Amino acid sequence: MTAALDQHERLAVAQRDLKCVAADPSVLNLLTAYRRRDELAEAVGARPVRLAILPSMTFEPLVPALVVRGLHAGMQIDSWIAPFDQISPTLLAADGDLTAFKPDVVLLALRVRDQLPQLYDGIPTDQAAAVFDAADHWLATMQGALQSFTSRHAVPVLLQGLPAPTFIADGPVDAHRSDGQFALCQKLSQGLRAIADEIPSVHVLDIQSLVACHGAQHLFDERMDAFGRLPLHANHYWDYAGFIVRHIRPLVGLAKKVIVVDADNTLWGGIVGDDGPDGIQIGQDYPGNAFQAFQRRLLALRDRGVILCLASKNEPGAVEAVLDNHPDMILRREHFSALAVNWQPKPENLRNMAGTLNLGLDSFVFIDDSEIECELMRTSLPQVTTIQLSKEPAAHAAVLESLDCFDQFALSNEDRHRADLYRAEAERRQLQSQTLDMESFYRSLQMRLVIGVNDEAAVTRAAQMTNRTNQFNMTTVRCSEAQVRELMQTPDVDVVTARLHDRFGDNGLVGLAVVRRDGADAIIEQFLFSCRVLGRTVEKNFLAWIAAHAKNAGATHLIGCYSPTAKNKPFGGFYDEMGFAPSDDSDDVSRWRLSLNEGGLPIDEWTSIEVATGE
Amino acid sequence: MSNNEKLQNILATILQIGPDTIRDDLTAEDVDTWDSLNHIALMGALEQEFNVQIDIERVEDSQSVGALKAILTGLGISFADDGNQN
Repeated sequence: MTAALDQHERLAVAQRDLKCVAADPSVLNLLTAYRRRDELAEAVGARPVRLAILPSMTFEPLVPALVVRGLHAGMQIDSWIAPFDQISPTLLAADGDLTAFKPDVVLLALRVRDQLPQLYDGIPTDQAAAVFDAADHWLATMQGALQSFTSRHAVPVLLQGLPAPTFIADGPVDAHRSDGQFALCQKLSQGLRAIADEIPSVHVLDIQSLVACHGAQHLFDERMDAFGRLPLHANHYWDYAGFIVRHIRPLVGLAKKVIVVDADNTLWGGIVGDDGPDGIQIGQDYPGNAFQAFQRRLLALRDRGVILCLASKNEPGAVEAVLDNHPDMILRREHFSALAVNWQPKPENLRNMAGTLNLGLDSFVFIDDSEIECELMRTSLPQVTTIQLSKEPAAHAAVLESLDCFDQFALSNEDRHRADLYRAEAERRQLQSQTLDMESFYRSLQMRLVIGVNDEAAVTRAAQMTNRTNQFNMTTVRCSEAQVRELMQTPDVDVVTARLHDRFGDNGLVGLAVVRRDGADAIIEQFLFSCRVLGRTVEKNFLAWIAAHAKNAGATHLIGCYSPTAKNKPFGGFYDEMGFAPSDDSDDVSRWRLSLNEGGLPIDEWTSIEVATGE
Repeated sequence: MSNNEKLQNILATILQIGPDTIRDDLTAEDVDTWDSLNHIALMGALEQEFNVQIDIERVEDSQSVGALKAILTGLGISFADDGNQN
């Protein structure tokens, strides 16, 4: 048990360290992490991958970046580098060092600057025939060597393609030449693709996509190319390594399979429980179009076999109404293989999904806009890849575009329909709830509830809350600012507000209660809580403070009121759960009664409560 | 961190040598790990850590600590603050 916890902690620390390197992948940081590779690999439970690299460029300085980027993706890369520019001889040697290394994957880091310099320097017309012959010869040699190797070894081979020339000797004329640099580049690229079509275990890496992403001027470094035949700039070792690793990932079974997304402020803008299905932001104009773009990317991932799931803290009906009926939604209910719309902790929901889908949690990616939800997921289930969205909806689609962990080299018909298969499977099984020890998470949040009683400064937000809060709103009484102020000034009535701070900062005013003293009874006429911070026991502590406050003021009983609406059903049992006894029902209001003679309600020790303004 | 300490840290990390062995007269010849491959890493790290760009012609003749300092000094990095280590 302790060992398991230690492992959990070591994993969290290793992930944090790797994240730091990813944020600043300088030569020094990469080297420092690289020297800790065995320890990091053990901590993250990395899968060993033996990678043979056959380069026609200097590769050694890239190894730290490659290994650390591999650890980042869950693989422990053990590399062997063949002698420089000996690709064909190395492939052809039946009992050579390559065979002895027993690679899981072979990478051909191709470069033709030495073999076909005319591709980059220009092709004089009188040499064109000879250059194109040389290109044919180069391709034929490559194909022959690869055929020889792959007939002896069932090992996937990655062919790093050739970057397009950036210097065009003939200028615009080259585009019209059938024997120019552009034509030669096309010929070589098509030739490499033809080899890959011929030999199923060979895959071409489109290096031009990496160039397109970073720009040739930044990615390449002529100085280091001239000095040491390493064409890449040190500032981009990490990006190059990422490009290689993303292609190794699917070959060693480390591709992710499932995306679990949040709903509010992730699939659409706004809170459906509060804003209603018609009030959420989704549609043709900003920010709705940004959320649509995000949904389109999700749909594209689903079309290539990624399983979509939804995890939302919401009333199921509200989310389903949007999925089924909102005219501007791209994603519909049938696109999701599992829906977990409830008030349980999301890690618990992901565990259930993993069980239902029969997939490991390490193949899950979780996307949410909430820092709290992401932090909970990272600490509870570090094997899940957790991605927190920024506050800018227009940036969300790019987050999905940059995800390379779903790549596959082949997409079968089954892949294309996998999501449907899983949905059917999920429907057959019942989601089982699992208990999760939440206490350490609550403690780590360092929650501090600051109570205000009749606090004039809270009037604006208090009135706003009565008008905006639909779900956890026990009586749904809407008040103007003037009405709130009037209640504050009424003798025997207290307007109690709660502001929540935690280690991430100030969550603002999250709780509101209106308590009227009637003889020995303290009646909670209104009780509202922001859904943003539910599931953290704060609302219970808020009620406990109200109970203690009423008792101090001489009340013997605390009365809770509940008027059901379409939106607040999930909280109909709140007073019951808190130990109140049913008292009476009238005018569609149920009343719940708690005796204050026996010590009141407990306050969780992980939340501290202080009073900002006294009476 | 002074520029001298920064340079020492870079050399110590890349070449895996003790910071106390790093003096201006230390040359690539004296250090087994200071080969052409680590020299590439060294150049990359120097450029990143000092935020400079080193000319290709200087890369090859930068095979001692003193020569590295001279190159960096020429790029506006001062090593005057902590005394002469010779």
